[in-house]
Amino acid sequence: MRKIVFWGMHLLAGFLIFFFLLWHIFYMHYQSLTKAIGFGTHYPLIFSEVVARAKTAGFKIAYVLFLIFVLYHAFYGLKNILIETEFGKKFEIPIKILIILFATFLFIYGIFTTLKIGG
Amino acid sequence: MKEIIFKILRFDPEKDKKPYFKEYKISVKEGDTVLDALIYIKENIDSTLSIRYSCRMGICGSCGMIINSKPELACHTQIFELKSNIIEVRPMHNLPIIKDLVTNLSDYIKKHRSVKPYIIRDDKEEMDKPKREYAQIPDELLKFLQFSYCIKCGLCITQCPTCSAYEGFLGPFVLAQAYRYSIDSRDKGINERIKIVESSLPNCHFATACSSACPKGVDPALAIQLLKRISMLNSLGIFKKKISEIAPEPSPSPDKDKYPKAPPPSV
Amino acid sequence: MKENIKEGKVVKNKRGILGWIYLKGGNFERYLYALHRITGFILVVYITFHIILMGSRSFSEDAWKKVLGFLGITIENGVYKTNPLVHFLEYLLILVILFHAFNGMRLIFTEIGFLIGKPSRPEYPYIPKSIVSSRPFMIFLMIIAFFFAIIGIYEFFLIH
Repeated sequence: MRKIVFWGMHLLAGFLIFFFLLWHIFYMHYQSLTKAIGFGTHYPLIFSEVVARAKTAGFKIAYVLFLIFVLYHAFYGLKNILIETEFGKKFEIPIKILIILFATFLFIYGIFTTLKIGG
Repeated sequence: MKEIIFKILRFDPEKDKKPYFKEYKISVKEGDTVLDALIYIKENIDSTLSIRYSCRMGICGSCGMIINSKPELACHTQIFELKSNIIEVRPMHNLPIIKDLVTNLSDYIKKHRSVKPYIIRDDKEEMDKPKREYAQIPDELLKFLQFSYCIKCGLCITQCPTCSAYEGFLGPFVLAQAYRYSIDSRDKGINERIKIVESSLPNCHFATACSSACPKGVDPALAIQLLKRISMLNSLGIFKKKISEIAPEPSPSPDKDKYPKAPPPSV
Repeated sequence: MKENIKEGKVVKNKRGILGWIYLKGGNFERYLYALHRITGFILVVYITFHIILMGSRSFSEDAWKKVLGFLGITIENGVYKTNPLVHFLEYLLILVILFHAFNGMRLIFTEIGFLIGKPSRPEYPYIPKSIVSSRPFMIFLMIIAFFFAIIGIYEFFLIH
């Protein structure tokens, strides 16, 4: 795959994360705003609510997609930051391998916890 | 006339361990540029000062320096407009210093050469023995004219944050020239250039410091973002560009016989 | 001279990583780039901890409560009680996210070549078109981000 296509996917992931992330923050923290929209009072951190949310199919798919986009965008950005240093050119391949391994670990852990709680 | 102190960064690699500032006090009049002052210092006060200059009118790009922390061409900068009694002159950032105010641009010139900054066509016969010009309308010219004004002074490299740490980045003016030739309607070499330029494009993050430093209004940041767009379209296979063909032979005038003949030459 | 350059006696004169952050007399977008990088790095570190800690909800209710307790959030009678320092840090994180998200939106549009003007004949004084044409969009996004930050102050400090 050409290098410029990876960059294009970074931008696309960023664009989609913008909407996912703002919704996630509003739901978790901006209680008065969600109340004004019509969601009623909710306490998103109480365990029973967490389980109820996680059992919904919509939430499962949304969280898995969110995880993929966030991990790709974050670790592509981190790769750029680490490689654009004075030593970046020498250690380009080890940095890329480490980043891919770490991101894969977080991805597997994230998928496991998202799908396990629902059963 | 006014007394101004010039603080110039000096460094002789054969004698000094590290660069240091040296002060010179000279009197200048209105209309004097920083280059005039530096030449006066070299001729009358300290002949060991090394400076690079050529045209003294802002078109060759040789005298790029950092004057009072701003990237300027020395011949283009009026001393009185700086509104300061102490003027600090140092060589351009991010480029190796050869001596005093002279820096080594050869790395970036090599990078410039590597992106093939010339018109590429597949007709070798026409390239070697051209018959006529290629027909190009003003709208096609306007797409790249701004970027052809680049004088390769290197002031954009001093401000680019990626160039300050990463050696593998081609640099703002190199990428802008790659775009200038790729979008030119007379050129057919876009695929070759994009292969070379592709690895550097994700390292530009639109900090626009290069465009604000450019003394000729070339706006390399604009060229690089447009280059990203055409390279993305090219990788998806949907980039189209109208190619200029050789201009048609001018047809003979139908009224040629009606014009009076020219008088015989007197010289 | 040629020998000097070949042997590497020339001073490298690179600004290094400091060149990302500090630039005397730089333009506004240059500082936005530096802040975008710093906030991006903070968010990468945060997201690793967030995924690992929030994953505890799949183990057991006790593990979940322990993690929340470690973060300073306790639940009493169905209502939250957050440690004030943690509450303030949460608000700072929201500001970091708002900055990175809205600046990132500006970068997405400009890096594809939208809203940065068209090439034209340069006229003296040479004001770069890419900077001037992208400013209205930047100001529009700044206003929306500021609006959300103000709602955040109301939400975080005036209600709870």
